[in-house]
Amino acid sequence: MKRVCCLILAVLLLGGCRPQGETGGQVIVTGVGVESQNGSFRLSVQAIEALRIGGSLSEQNEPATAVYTAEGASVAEALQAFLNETGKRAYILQNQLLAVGLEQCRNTVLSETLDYFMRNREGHSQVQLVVCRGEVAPLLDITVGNDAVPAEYVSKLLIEGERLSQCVTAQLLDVERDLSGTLDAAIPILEVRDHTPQLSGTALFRGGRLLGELTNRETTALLLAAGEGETCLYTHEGITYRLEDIRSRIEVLPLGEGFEYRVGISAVSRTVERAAQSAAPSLAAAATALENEIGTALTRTVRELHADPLGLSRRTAACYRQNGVTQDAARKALPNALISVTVTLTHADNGFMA
Amino acid sequence: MSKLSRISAPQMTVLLLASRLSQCLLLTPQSTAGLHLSDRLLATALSGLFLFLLFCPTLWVLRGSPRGLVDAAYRLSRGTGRALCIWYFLLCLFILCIDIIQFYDFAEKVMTGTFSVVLLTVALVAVAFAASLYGIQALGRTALPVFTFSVVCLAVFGLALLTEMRAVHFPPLANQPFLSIVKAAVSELPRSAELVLIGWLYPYVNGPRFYAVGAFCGLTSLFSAAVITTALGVLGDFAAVTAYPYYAAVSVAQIGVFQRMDMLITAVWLSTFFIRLSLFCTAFVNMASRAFGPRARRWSALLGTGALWGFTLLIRHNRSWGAVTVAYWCVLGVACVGLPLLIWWLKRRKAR
Repeated sequence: MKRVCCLILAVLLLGGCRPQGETGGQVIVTGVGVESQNGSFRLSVQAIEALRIGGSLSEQNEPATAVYTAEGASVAEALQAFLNETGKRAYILQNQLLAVGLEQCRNTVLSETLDYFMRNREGHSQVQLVVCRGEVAPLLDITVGNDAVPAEYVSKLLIEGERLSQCVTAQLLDVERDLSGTLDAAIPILEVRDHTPQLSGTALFRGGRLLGELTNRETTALLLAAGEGETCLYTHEGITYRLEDIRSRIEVLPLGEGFEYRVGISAVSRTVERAAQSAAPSLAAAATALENEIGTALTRTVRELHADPLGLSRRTAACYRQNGVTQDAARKALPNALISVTVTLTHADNGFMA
Repeated sequence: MSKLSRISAPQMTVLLLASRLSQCLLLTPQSTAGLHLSDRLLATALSGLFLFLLFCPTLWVLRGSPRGLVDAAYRLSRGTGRALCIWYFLLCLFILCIDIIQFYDFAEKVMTGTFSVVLLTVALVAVAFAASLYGIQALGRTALPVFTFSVVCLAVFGLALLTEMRAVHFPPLANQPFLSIVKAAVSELPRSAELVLIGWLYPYVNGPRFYAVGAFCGLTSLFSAAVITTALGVLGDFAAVTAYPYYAAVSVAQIGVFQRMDMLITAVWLSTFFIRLSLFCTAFVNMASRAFGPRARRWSALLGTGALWGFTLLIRHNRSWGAVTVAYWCVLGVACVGLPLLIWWLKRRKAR
């Protein structure tokens, strides 16, 4: 068997027999921005040049990344133009961020914009996806210090933002799920102010088409309804609560010709700050205010934007399949649905007695 | 039969399972017979039962006998035995050919890198035939670490993807009429082509063969269900439109700093695929030596390697999976039901 093992090893190592690209002949892409420019695709590529880096990132005297721009009739052509202009091949295996301009989303279906990245096996399905309000290039060129990669900074900002129920996160896989009809895609919107990226709501898509935008507060409400955030700060009448252990449950009930959706949210609440002039904390009042806020956000999402990021229609089809309710039929009936929200907050002592 | 050429019943189960795992991981929406993946879960459970039923004729004919179908045929007449050996010989070549085309398809569509797929295929076939010369026991021993590694990886992928799974991605079970689920269960059977080798493998196995095959059928369903659940839970309806859903699902898994698990799934798939190829190559070489004498072992390995390269390179772009499935059903029917019953009938007629 020794000989067989050697042969297997040889087979596995065959990939290394062919010449690979020279390190200096390629740029390691860490972020890509796509936007429309006079009917063509304008690509902004944030890249680390392998030969520019000596030693560790912390010893750099200048930013480790640079942003290049290229244009083409398609993303692939724009990347080709990038190659022609710089003489370097774009290595996208390490790509961490994919930013699409908001105008591009309004004018072009997302599947068309991102088709190149979905087909390319090198591109990671878990790459963070954002919609950028305004131009995309400044988002990839933000100032984060010489020892950091801007795309990585944005990626971490989004992950932490989702943990704190401040923003949604989206990957290429979410767009693929949306295109297959599973769930509507919710993609965070960022905008750059004074070279700093800031959360600017959520863009909702169905079948790759932009349905509309949610504000930051509506995004938080959506995350609470989905039970996806880990923790959330909520201020009511001068008192700031931290909600933890957030759980949600969605019930679907028949209501006349349509359906009623009962969203039940439970969380543990801790008082983290209280203004001196504020009244005595009332958890019941805070819960009611939160119920109204979440209810308004969900109703607007469903009725005004005709979006279904929580998969309400899919749940309906699953519950009432025997009655011949399909996902499409439930989706059509969704704008007329009644949405009621119940929030149950349980007080947790944080040891501060005053 | 020498002691070195025998394996135990658990070893047989592991060998067959390691081989079958390569097909489980190669889950494709085309192989669902128009059924949603959630209903495919039910079809998978049902196909385990069908698999066992398919094995029953062989088990019944060989009951109480240490011999396999080939020995039984040789006892009838030399011509019958040789004809059966040639049937198995051609059967193995057919299955190997389809497997290699599947491998080529997978490598070409999914695997990244600039290596030559043709060169990789050629090397894999050569290694599988070289391994076949070491006999069934060597293969049985190799299958155990490969199987253990694969199961550990499947468990790790499952755990790593738990955070990516959503209950809402699973459509309700039994969405389709029961007949469609039965049809899908039947269409799942050709993926367990190892079953055709049971009649040949039977005399090489020590211990309770009945339970070993039963365990193979049950665990095959279990592993298939695990793979479908993972793919469906992560991808939702996207699983129905992507070429290799399990691969697509695993490629998004990450544990801490470890990302790009698709490399690991490729390694698992290659190793289980190697076991599958080697198993059929071993049967191929063994049949050649029994039909044409012991000297035929080496030249049959060389001939098989050459024939596989030739067939694969010729028909890799002209295959029709529909025709392949029909051919597989015919082959399964003949190998698992037709041949054992024919040999039983000939034995009975000779006894009279």
